Amino acid sequence: MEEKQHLSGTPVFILRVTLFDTTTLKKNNILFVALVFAAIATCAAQSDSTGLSPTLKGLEGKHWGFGAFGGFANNHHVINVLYATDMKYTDGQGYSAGVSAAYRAASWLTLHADIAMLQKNYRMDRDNRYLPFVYTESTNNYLSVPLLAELSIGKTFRVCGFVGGYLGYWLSGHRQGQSLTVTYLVTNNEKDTFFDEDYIFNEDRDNRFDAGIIFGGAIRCAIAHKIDLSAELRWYYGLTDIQRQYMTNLNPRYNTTRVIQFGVAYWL
Amino acid sequence: MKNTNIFKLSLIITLLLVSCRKEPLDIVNPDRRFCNSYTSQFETVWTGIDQGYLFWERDTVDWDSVYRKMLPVFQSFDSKGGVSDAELTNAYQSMVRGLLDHHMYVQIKNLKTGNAIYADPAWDEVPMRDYYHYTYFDNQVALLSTMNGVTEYKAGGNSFPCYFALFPGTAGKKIAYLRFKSFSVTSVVNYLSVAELAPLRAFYGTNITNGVTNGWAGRDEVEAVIIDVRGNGGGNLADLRPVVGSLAANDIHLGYSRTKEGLGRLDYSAWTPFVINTPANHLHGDKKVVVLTDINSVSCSELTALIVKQIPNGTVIGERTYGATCPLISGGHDMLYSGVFGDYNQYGYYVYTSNFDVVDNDYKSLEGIGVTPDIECLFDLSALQAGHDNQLERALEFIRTGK
Repeated sequence: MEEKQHLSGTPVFILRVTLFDTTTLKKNNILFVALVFAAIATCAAQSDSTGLSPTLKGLEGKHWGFGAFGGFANNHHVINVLYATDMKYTDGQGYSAGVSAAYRAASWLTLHADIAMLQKNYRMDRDNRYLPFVYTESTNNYLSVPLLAELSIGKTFRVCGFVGGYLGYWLSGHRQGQSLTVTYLVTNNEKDTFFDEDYIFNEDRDNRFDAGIIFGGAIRCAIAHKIDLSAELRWYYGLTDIQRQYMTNLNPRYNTTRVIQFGVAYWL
Repeated sequence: MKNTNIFKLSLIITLLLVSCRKEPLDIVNPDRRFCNSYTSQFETVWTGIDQGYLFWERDTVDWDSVYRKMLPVFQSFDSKGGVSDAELTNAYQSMVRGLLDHHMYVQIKNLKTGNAIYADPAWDEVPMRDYYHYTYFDNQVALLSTMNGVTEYKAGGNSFPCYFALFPGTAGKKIAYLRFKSFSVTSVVNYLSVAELAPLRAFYGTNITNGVTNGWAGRDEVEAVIIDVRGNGGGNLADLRPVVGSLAANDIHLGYSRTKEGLGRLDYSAWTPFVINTPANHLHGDKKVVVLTDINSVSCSELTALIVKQIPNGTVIGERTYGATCPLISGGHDMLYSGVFGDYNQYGYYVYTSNFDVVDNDYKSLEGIGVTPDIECLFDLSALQAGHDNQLERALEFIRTGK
């Protein structure tokens, strides 16, 4: 009880904890998520009173694991638009995939090191009566290397919480949308407002180095000898401004990326 | 218990790190700010240019250094209780010195005298060119009707100075000539009288906004056309398609343009093609097209020269132009958070500046440089005083001789 009071007194509740806007996820993605959860729940139901199903006791005592994961990313672009109040930034959907290595240091502690390709996308719309058509969809591909410490309870079916940090690099980008163009002013034809291009980095402005903290939870379940499945929710909380400090009055911009991902691991 | 302690420690470290993000700025919109001191005027204008100026990617001015250098100057104006118009002009001219934008000017109300003062970065550059001269528009057009072989001479009214003439060409053909002082054709056709529009109608035809219809420019007996934009200060971008695009046989891919897309100096939209679509009624590529330019050809006049350079049979003759090749739209700050901002009458400051960056097909900018003619012919004041427009005569010679 004391612990609960202590925790609730921390500023943990200032964090944005919105998960996914399911209306923006495709129906197929939702079905996929449901199937994975169903598989893990079935696995959990097979466990005996010791937490291990008869065929899955092989994971006990294994220290090194290697695996792969994939999932969906929802990125919240954090920017204060100041007086540009008709610039509306909304979350972007993307993907996450990668490989992981894990070391089980104790029955309750596992260390993870991942290499992940992660998208941090967002969209900007102009809510302006003169420019109702203007928008930009930005797709940004990052290489991320998270290092995590995971605490878990359970054996075959484990409930885990993890925290750690990540380093990353902004590999590439793409943007498409509509903007007010000179050609449009000459022709007054909306077809002249479209653009679709690979993003060209500006070395003075773009900070391609990415770092931050990462936290979340997972459920993991052994499904066969040496193999387990997992479902995770992760928050990548960026601490590096995506811009370099190239001007005095620079308005900071960050990314907070929420990821739901599923993985499989093989334990040696 | 050990697990719990590790968890609590991790959580505390995480929460401490979460608070490491920088706080957003707190800046008032520089487009609408009441200023009651020289310092607040300066800070507002500085901020508006800081966040809305178009050329920071190429400009070499250290704008943060300008702030540090000029802030004490304006603070001293406040502590003195006022300043003369000349001193205030000098201060603002020092502030904008070296900026690329040749459209830019800053208009400030002197809080002590109540007078308007102006600063313009182009003032430090354009008059320094060795071929700089004033505009002699009126003197040159006064000679037009007296030149050899001129027929069909027509002059517009004072509200839209515009002139048309036919010159003799080669093999009995003719050369159609048009000169106007500003690009406001698509607006003046709505309210000027037929008599005032006579030069435009003679060149393009009766339906000017549709391009070349039944005017002289499209007739078989005309072998070449001359558009004279000397002393033309520019105007409405919408003119480019009917007035200039109609002189080309095909669409003109002029280059690329972009604008600002955020309040950071380097927040730009994507580059998009800058294309002038040829209207349905246009020339068919069988006539020479010549544009006459001088150092006082600004903005749309310069874009006209760029367009004609793209036409296979187009030639630009005259002088390197002013260097304000990147256009703007009025009221642009509300739409683009860049370009023109402030209101002199309401807030005591106004800054006129571009909001569309334009580059050529090789992504080269001509802002602050101007369009270099294919055939250079500098203005000759003594020739003008002797009754000759040497630049127009050079254009006619080129059409007649091919050199």
